[in-house]
Amino acid sequence: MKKILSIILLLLISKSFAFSQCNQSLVKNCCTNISTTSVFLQQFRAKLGDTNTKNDLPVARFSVLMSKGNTYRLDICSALDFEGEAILQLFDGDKLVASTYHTPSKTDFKAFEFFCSKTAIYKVYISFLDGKPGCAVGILSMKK
Amino acid sequence: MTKLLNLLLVSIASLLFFACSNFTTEDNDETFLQSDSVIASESVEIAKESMEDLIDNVSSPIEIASLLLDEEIPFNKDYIASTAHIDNLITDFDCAINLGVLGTDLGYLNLYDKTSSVMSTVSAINDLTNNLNVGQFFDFDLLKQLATNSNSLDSLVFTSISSFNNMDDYLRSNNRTNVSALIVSGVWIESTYLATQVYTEMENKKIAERIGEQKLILNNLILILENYKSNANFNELLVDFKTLKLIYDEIEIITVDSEPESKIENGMLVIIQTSKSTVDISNEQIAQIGLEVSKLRNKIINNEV
Repeated sequence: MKKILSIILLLLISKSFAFSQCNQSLVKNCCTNISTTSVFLQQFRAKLGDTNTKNDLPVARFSVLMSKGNTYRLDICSALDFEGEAILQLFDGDKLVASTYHTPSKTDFKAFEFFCSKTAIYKVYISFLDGKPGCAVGILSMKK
Repeated sequence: MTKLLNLLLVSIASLLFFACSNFTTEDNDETFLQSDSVIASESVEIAKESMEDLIDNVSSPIEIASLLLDEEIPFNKDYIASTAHIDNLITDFDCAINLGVLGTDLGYLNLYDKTSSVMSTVSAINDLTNNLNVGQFFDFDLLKQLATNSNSLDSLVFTSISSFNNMDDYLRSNNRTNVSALIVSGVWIESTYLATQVYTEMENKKIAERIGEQKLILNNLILILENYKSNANFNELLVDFKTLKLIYDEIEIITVDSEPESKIENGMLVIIQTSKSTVDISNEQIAQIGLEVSKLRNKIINNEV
């Protein structure tokens, strides 16, 4: 009986991890981070392979128009069935504006808020730490 | 112990049932595709990526509605497109562009919590998505259920937007970027129509600026449509957009760049941008834009494009 129970519990635990698989459930899961005072706008889905070189890390690139006067929030969630830990960066032209990962302190914030004062087309980059293969979703929401 | 075992077995059965639903073709739980950016070695793919980039730049259907709400502009049902014409739409072109128009209206209705008026728009969207063979991305029973429950506004907004996003992803990954291009064109037309109609009745600096900022998107839409101008319908839409561009060319967007500031607030990284943008737009220009956008919108919803 103990064995059966152990197997059942193991299955249950496996299922809870499977919730963050590389599919639409990852989007839904990541959206639970959005507060009730924010409204979901867009998702950025990235699935990147392994790389042979450290100098040319694979990056998934997206564009998004952000309007001044709005406060946006960007969240990044990595699928647990992949090795890679995702980083989301926001660029204004070539200039890095914000990142979920602070390299000097190796702090992974997983999200940031961005008070926009310049309407422009911004770039969202999603990559994985050390170029490891990964699957992630970035969520753009806006404070109501 | 037997009870516990039964309970666990029921739990597993339920979990397996829901887990299996991830792999049905009826819902939108498809596994992510490999990002295009990693297979950018062929020129065709680069062109496709650029095209998708341009489409991404069109703002969300709810951004204008959100601004109107912030500015405490009262809801006006007269701004919503009629859905009476939907049955007459046959071509993918007409269905896709009208889908963009109605998607924006759905966002406007949702944000203003006008759930009782949502049903006709939702039904029309259902018809259009079925005509375009993308009906599987919209769970209309769920949307109806959420629309009739006043406590489900956030879920309704999320479900509506994510359905549109998933459909858009599917269209692009199935070489139907032209359909995506038409949907975002419809979104842009209806959003600009909404903003100009509101401004006509109630002058507001933020709305004026937002109308002017549409210049950024219009320029991209023109680039997108240029790719499909060999089709007569696309070309006609392009000509209309170029008429609007003549007005927008006189509108100036001035930007001043400076370094952003950052702080940690309740454990959250907060970035405060210090760059600025201002829009130089006159009431006359807004009136001209409103007139041209109204004409274009009427052509679309009267099926004359």
